Amino acid sequence: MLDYNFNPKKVLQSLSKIAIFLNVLSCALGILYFVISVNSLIYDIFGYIFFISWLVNIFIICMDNKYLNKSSKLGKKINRLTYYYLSSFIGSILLLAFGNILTSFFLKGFLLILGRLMIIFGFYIITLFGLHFSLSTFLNIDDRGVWNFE
Amino acid sequence: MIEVFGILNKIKYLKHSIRLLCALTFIVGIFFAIVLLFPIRSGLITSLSYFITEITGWLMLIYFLTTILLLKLITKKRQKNWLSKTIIVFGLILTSINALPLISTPFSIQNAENEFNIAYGPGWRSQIPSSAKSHFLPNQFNFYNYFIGFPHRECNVETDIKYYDDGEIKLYFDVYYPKTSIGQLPGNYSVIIKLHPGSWQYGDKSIGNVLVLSKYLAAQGYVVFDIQYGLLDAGGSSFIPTPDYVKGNVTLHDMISQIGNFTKQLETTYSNVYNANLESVFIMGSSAGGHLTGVVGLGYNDPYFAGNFSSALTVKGIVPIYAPNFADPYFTRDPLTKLIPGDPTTNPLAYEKFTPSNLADPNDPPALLYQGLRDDLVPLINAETIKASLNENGVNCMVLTFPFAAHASDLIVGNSFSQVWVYYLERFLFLSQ
Repeated sequence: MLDYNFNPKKVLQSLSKIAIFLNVLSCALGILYFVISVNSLIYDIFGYIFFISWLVNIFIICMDNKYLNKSSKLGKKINRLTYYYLSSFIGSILLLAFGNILTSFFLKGFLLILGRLMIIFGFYIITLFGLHFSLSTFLNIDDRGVWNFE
Repeated sequence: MIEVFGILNKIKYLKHSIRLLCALTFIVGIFFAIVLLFPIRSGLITSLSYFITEITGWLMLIYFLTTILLLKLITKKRQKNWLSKTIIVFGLILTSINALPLISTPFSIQNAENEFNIAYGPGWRSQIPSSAKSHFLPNQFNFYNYFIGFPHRECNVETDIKYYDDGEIKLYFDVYYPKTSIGQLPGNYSVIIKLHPGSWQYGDKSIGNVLVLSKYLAAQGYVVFDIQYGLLDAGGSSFIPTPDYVKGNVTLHDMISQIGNFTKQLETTYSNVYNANLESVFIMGSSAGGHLTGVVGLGYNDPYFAGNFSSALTVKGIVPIYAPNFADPYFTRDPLTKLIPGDPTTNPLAYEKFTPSNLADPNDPPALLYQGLRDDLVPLINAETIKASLNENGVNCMVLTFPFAAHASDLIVGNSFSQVWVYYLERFLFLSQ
């Protein structure tokens, strides 16, 4: 019989490591994509990478919410970060949606440039903030009093 | 001390505002979910349904994130249990409903595969050389095109070239063509004539005719002519941008004559200017433009329309997108009755000839049709009838169907319907050249 004990600290540590890796990779491939937009299998992989990184970031928020000790100073700080990240995530999704709509209907001019900028900003706000957030979780995982793992 | 209370109060109000915003998002979400799932015929809701089906992926994420944010914002312990359960149930239902169009993508792909296997045989992919494949979408769906957009491809664009002026109506076209520095491209300078949607009364080239797709196809080596045609001025208004100079007392015969006029000018003038290959011409259009595509493409060799079109063009394929087929009842309702003189009893021949499925014959070009299964304006029966009549005449006709796709669901090219559509469209165009 397999005896599996759920260790939230280890899970959160592994998840934040994965999130850091995926967010960095998303940033790098994002630059490549925004500079050279062609049909390529690399970008198909990029699509899966950033989508999975978004989901992992969301999962870390849920775990932080459950295990953070919000009465400690650092715990409060990370908790506040989750609020900022969630709000900016929603804002960025709106930026991406409206950016996509604008770029779909305009051939040239200010609105096309605005649409493109909205897409770039939306994408990078999610990814860079996600990176910052997962780094904050990872770097403070061993701090005493910040978590309620026991 | 007063400052601390001030900050605490501010945080309290901020949390209340966010809660309120989240609740509003949920209320809007419920309304959108109803619009997405149920066909409701009302001006605003019908227009909304065109749009909502295209942005469900983003809505799905917004509802999911809002659910988490709301759960975090519940602080009172006595509320926590029942309220969090309610939020989770509502949030997950809204998220799941909005995920449906994305989840249904494999079904659209499977249907498209079946259609292509029947038309071209199971090994149809081997008919496309790798040099051409390298320009095509590698897969039917990807997340990057969905969430961060279908990029504008590099091509030459010339806009607002006048091709028709009868004093009352002026018509212009835009042309998208490949950069000359690029070598052999799959399009091989084949011509695509694009006809915009707008229920024969509204609409315009460019902004109203999926210009991202025009650029994409031009970058693949096609010469895409996005043309205006005369529109019926019935005195109504619409949110669809429509230039005044194309409106007038126009009938379907006039529209066909104007499009025919363009084909003649294409032969005499524009084919040389843009190096267009007249041996390989495609007609593509959506909604009302899709109906005209059917009439022009299938009626090109019909004696009823003799003299309208240039004989130098060889139509190699037609692409009607959510296209109405039946003249009766579409043109028996006001104000569209003005489009065909008389009615089905006094002018039966016109009604017969403006029903594309009646124009099918063995010499017709193959057709690729787009059909949303949630399209209550132009239901599936239209596409099925065109397909049946072409198949009866031994002509290939493929209908790509998309669950949850409403009318005009291809306007944002990166959405889950359009990606599948573009994948098969580019292959159809290449195989039919």
